[in-house]
Amino acid sequence: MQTRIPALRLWLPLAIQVLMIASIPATATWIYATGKTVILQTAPVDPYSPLLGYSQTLSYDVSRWDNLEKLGKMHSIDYIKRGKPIYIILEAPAQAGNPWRPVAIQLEKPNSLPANQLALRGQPEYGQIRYGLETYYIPEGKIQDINREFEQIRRGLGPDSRPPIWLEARVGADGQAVPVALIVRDRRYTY
Amino acid sequence: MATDKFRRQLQKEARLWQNEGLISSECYDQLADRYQFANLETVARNRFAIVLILIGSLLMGLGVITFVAANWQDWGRNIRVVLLLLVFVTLNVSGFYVWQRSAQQSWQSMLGRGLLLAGSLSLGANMALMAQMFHISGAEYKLYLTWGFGVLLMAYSLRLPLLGICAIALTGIGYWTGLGAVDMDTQDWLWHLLIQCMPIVASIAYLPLAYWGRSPLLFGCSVLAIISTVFNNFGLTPPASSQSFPDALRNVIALIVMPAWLWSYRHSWSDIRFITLCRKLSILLLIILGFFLSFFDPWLSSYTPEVSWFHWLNLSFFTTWAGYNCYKQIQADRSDLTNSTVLAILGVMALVMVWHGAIVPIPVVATFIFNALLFILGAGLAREGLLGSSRLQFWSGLLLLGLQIFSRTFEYDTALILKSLIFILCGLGIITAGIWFEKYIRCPNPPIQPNQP
Repeated sequence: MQTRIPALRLWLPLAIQVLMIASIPATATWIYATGKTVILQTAPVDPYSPLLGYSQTLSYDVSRWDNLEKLGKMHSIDYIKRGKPIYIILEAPAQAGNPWRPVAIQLEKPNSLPANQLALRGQPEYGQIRYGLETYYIPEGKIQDINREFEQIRRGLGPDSRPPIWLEARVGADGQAVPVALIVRDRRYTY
Repeated sequence: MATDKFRRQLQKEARLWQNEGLISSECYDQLADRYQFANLETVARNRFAIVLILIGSLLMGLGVITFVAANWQDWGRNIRVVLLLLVFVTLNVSGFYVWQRSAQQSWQSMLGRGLLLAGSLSLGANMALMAQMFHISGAEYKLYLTWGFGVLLMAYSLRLPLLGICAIALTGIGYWTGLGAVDMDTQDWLWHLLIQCMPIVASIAYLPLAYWGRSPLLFGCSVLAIISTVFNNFGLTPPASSQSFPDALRNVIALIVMPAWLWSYRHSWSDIRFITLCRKLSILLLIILGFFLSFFDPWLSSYTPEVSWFHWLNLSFFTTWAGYNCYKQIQADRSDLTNSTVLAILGVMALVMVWHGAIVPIPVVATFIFNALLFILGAGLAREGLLGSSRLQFWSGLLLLGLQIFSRTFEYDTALILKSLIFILCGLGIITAGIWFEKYIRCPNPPIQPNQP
């Protein structure tokens, strides 16, 4: 027989490992439960980056520097350093279900905002802003259908058109966001 | 302890001898008892079972990971989370109890360890699947580093070398993929710190486990992990001339600290197998360094790399450790010729490189000295092989000498006739040395003839 090891030497590290696993969705779960729902307009899908693996890589209007420059009343882009988070102030649309509109950009989290506005935290990186919403995992069985739909949309797009693809997300009090559903035309995909 | 192959052969021969009447049945029984013939089949079965169980465990772990890619979407998210955690906990708990309640080295013990390994692999699968189910994106290297940490925790708690090796592999993947991805300016400064200080982290994290687990394999993996991260962090370059004294010294220490650290490696818990492994690695690194600097071109370099404070931190850590161990080693045994020779070679290498870098460029003299040192290393290896009747060491020494001769022949513009002569002489030398060596190890000391009446 082996020299017996106390069971605690299994259960203690196992408990820590379970906590490690549970910590991954912990923040997302909290944001789902307490956050505000926001709809974001996606930017045109890059035709040279087809759907890879089992996730859709998304980009948004608010992901691009040049779109943010048009916001006007904001600090100069020069003040925005890669690595420091920024906050995009989004305003609710007049009609529910339409995408939220970026109205301002701030370097610090705002203390208070009107009821129809919220702050979305982004991370400037290499010429774009990342919000943690760039990846939406899609089940293997559904990829082909979504691929086909995206391809049809892309063919029908004009050079300056916005694709009828939106992301529904929940934004927490600290500006972090988690994706909830992908809205394609009038269909809502939740995975 | 006799090998299984020898025991199996002996059993077969002993049966023949008994049948032919060369040995009695009592003699056979004594042999059977001494060499445990009865266990041979069990050992073979166990070994086969061990291999199957290991393969099965790895496949199980990979199966769980592949399960992530299959996107298990038909059930609700909550049910998926619960089921995954259940599988993860079951693998670990069943593995632990099967391992603990079986005899050491039995197939059940291996099964238990295999299940624990599968449980460790499923930790990563769980983490990745959680991120996927909640649409959380992140850098892959963070997953591997966190996964490696989790497995290391379990390895320490259970003192299981198998899990320690798994942790080293996972952390290694995280380290090498994270090198290019991590950046000091972003929120990832903590990960950047971890990666840049990995040599120190690896030493603290892996070596104690190797000792407690009494595992030479884990120790070897730990040392290789440390060496690879050190060399990556130090950014080794040939000694450049016309440097400032601190730069030259830093560069030289970066080149020789690992061979010195390995050669002098010792601890109050030292296992002789660990020390032997370290010394072999040290000689190998010295040979590589000596071979590389036996060429003339590296001595013409004038490149001094930029170094970060992480480099200084890692360098200071290992220099202090190596320096202390070298000092204790010299104090412990001044008469050990091999030890003195290696430390002297390290000292001469350092002195020549510092002189060339900070005082006066001496490319020609330095090349000559390094060739002499390389010759001493090769001859020393061959000598150790002769003394210990070790073919590997003897032939390694001769191979090194031959490599040195060939390198110089092709490095410099020599006539074809000279090249031809060198090849012939080397060939003759190898044949002569080989025959002489084989004769020597068969009869190292001629028998003393008694005086005839």
